[in-house]
Amino acid sequence: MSDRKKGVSMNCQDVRKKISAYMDGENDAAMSQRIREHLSECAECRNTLQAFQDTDSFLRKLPTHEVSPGFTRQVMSELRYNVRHKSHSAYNLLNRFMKFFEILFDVSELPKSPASLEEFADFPPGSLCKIYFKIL
Amino acid sequence: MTDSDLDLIKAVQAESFLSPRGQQAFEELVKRYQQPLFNFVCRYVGERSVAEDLTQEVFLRVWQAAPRFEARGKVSTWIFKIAYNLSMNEIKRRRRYQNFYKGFWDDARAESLFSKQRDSRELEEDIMRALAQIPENQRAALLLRVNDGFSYKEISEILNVSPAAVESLIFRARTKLRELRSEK
Ligand SMILES: [Zn+2]
Repeated sequence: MSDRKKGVSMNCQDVRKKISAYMDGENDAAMSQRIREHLSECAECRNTLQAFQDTDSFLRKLPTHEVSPGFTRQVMSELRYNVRHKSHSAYNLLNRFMKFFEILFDVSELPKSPASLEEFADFPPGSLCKIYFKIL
Repeated sequence: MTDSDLDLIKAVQAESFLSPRGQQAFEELVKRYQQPLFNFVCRYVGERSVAEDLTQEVFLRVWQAAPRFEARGKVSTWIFKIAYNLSMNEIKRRRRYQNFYKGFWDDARAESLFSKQRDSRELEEDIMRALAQIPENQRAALLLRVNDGFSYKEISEILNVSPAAVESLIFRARTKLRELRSEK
């Protein structure tokens, strides 16, 4: 590449391939300089740059969502539980059993499960089907 | 002065996790990263309902892997790499239901893409629909760059590809988004 005439003008196609990295400040100084020079005299490439910048501002309009309150506490207690059951495969198996029994003795709470599940979970509360469904 | 991420990981490594100091350090790390991770996972997977569970899983993996963390890289990059891998698995798992998923994002409602701004909820849906139309690795690279501010070098570590590949992924992602916008 070094035998190419750097410094002299780049063509539009080359510039456009590099414009995205240029925006991100990821080109080396020499490349950035050549792109800047090209942009100063090429309206079409300036349009490309503008369009990419618009795309980025479009993306940045995504709202930031909050995790639910108590998330940190939940993570920490999950971890503590995990620590106390170091063997993870055994832990998983145990966890499933625990969940099963938790649900078995907690069927009265079932109607509060999410609506999307409820739509398909048309079993009488407390029935084995219902319990099995909730485990799924 | 607040501890750096690295200080926190070192504290987790040094202390037994069950010690108050070990737990305190890890909790601080969770607080620091829960928001950015949750939002990245939401946007990348395209499904808010699973994002919280996935984020929780990320922290579990972070804790499990903490003893093996080497200070050569940045903590943020390492944590996002774990989040990226878990999210990618989730996407693969969901691909089995792709018809449903794609149908949800690509249907006729795509006509509303980029149309004049209405309320913020609709705007968010527009952006998410547009994101769903770019390939996953491009989407991840673009989000990590634009919304999370990582450098190409850092993104290359997260996605496990070369920096040149990151440049190309981001370029193609922007080009695709631009096309989607100009179709409108
Ligand atoms: Zn040009």
